[in-house]
Amino acid sequence: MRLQKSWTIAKKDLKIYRKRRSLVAFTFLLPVVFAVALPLILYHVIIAKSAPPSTVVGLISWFAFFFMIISALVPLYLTSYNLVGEKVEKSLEPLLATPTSDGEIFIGKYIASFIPVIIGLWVGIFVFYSLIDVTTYKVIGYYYFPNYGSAILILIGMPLAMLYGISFGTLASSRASSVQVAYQLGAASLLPFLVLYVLGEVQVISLSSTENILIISVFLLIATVGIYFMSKAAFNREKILTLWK
Amino acid sequence: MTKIYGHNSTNSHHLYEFICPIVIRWSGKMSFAIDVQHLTKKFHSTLAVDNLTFQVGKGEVFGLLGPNGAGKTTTVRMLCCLIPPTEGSASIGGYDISSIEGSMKARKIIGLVPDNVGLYDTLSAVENLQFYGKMYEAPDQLVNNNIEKYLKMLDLWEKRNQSVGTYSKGMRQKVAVARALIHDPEILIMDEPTANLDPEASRTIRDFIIELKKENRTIMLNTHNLDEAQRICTKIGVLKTHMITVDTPGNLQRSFSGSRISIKLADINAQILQAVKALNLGNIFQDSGTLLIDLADIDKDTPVVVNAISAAGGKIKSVNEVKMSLEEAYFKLVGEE
Repeated sequence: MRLQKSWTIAKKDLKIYRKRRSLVAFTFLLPVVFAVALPLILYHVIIAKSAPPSTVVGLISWFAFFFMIISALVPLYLTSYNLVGEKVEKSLEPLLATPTSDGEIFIGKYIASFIPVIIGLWVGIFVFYSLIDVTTYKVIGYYYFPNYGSAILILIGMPLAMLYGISFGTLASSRASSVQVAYQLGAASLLPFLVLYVLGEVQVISLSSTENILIISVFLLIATVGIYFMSKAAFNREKILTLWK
Repeated sequence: MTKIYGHNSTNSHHLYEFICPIVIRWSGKMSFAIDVQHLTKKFHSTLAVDNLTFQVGKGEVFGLLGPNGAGKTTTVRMLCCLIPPTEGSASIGGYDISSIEGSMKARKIIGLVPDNVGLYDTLSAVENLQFYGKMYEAPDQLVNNNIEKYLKMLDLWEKRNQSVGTYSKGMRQKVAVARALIHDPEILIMDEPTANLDPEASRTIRDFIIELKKENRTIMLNTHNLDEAQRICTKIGVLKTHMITVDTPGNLQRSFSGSRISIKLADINAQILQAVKALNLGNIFQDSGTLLIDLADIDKDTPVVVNAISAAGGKIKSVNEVKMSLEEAYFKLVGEE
């Protein structure tokens, strides 16, 4: 595995993103929309209903978990564009003809999806944390963020959710014939998060617990590694070149 | 036209095809740039390429001719290590493409112009070429020199920084050709490089390939264009799932006209016919006042025939070589299958 090759592929893809505004907009817009909308909802809950501090804290941790979900969602589109886009534009054939392994191509695609998404999500979550602190300080009497759990979420939970989303998107891309189909197939990756969210709502598990976030992260890591190898096995050069018209 | 003398199988290329691989294999001295042995590709139950065997020597320009669906693109994809063969083997520049290590090394010395150009439309010509230079692990200096050299040769230098999505089809094809050469490959494989291009763009690409031929590069060219194949290629393979024949364009033409000469006489009599038959050269046909004679070696045998006719009292009006066009030869070959 030559990481230099992967990095060259990633740099090329990043250059393409910069020239395709819609990709950049999608990557940055969604986290920022959530970052602004969630504190606004919270603010209205506090103002309108005079909710007690414990309810506010509970809501903050649920909302923070939203960022774990969109960490898996946002890279799906980029990853789908990355691989299926190459197939559709027929640029995969000359790329596969170079002395590059499937693994090097995959890692390159992972890096290319990971970098813009993590920047977008980190920008989003810092906006979210700041707005939450501003809106909730008077109610709970202290700045909720930063805390130990938020560091775990930013540095471990979100990156792993992103990698999980990327690997799921890659797996979907190796089966799909268009970017839209790959994106729709990849959206199935969100199911476990939605189940967790519902379980959190009905108080079966606590999504504000740092230990739980770490356990979820371990599962995400295992799933990411497993799906990576599944995607590699599903990446069939012959099928791509002969069946994709 | 009446056949008045001769036997049926005088085509010299049959002997060539039989002897050549044996001599080459036994001598072990000649190394091929491309050596294909019994290459077969099946897609489920569909046989795309059947038992293909051919060799391309270093510096040769090998043309692969065949109708649509003959297996030309599949052959190119197997040789470029893009899809694995079902059976058989091939070596590119001495590297066995069936092994992972060999295929990596082979890909490094091949430049591919695929049937779909597959460029990154949002990137400029220079950005596309720089990316592939890195993917082929070529030194930056070489890549930059080649970018300038080939974009100037192909008349794209002025527009080098425009995104290729704004280019015409011909310009995109030129960038694809430059991309294939960016790492100075030993072997250039081109899959219908002039297909769907206007005559001017086709000519530019064809002239460019002729320039590359002068650099003594090994080139494999898939084409439908018989005129192109005849002008560029030193050897031609006619493919229709299996290889029908491999020969030089000249020999292919001759294989059907059998190095035939046409001798127009004032009068043809039994004495003249007897004199020609006695030479025991090949098929003899009579078409009113013209004799058509198949010769094994046209340069050596023509004076012998002329002398024999003259000695028999024949008055020769003209002597001409009868040539079948490559197109006629191709259609005959493909049609016979």
